[in-house]
Amino acid sequence: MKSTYSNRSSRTSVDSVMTPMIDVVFLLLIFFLTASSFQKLEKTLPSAVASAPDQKSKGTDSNPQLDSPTTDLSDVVVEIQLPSGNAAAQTVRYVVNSEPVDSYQTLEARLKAILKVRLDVPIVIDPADRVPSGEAIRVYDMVRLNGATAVFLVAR
Amino acid sequence: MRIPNYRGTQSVNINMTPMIDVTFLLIIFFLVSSHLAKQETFVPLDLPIASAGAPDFSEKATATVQVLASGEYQLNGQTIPLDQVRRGLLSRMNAEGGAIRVRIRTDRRTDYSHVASLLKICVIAGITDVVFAVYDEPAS
Repeated sequence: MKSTYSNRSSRTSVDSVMTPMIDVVFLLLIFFLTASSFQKLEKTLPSAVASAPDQKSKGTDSNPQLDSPTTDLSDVVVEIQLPSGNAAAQTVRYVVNSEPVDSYQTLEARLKAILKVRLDVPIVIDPADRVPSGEAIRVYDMVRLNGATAVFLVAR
Repeated sequence: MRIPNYRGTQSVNINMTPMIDVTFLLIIFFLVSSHLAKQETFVPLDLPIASAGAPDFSEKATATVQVLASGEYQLNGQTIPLDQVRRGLLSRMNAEGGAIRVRIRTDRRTDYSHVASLLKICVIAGITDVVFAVYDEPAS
């Protein structure tokens, strides 16, 4: 007789402990679900801007960094062009100082060779109008990753 | 005078559990709602990928301009032409009393000409602190 009573008593006490525990566990579950945001973390990439030559001659506010002592070095201009006549093509062409480069890897090797001499040589990235901005930023990022300290994107 | 006798009163047993539950719930509610309020003007975009991107801890006043894949510009959640973006940035500069940072959220498929025009507007306005929002790895 006594054992039945004590059994019921212990079950009641376990029940009363379980309810707040489940509450808190659910709460923590919701907390971590929302805290681990479903949105991907966005990073920021600092940029520097170079005005196109025609805008500079018109007297618009050009980037002050271009007037720094590094301007006595000749700029390296990396043009990113879309192949003419084939707008649907995803591949882009790279031109370094008016000299076409056949692939992205060659472009990287060429820029590495230039940066080995001096890291502060101004590198101006000049993508054509129809080039996807993702491609422009990819090249910009690659140049920065290779240690260049003066990388500029063209504004026009 | 009669002295109050507390010996007979029963101690009030306050159950803390529901209170903690509700407190936690409110904390989570405000955390989530503030998070959503911050995100509401952000359109989902395929941002460019860059390995050199860094987490943004800047306290500087930031204006976020979004460039959609179609080439439209958005400032403060409103789709506006480029000229109004310029005016919006200038008024923001006046309101903040000086230099602001412009954060460009552009879709990676957007034509570069749209980004270049926006960069030019920033340069003309005297904003030199321009950053791009990027992902550091391709979206799964």
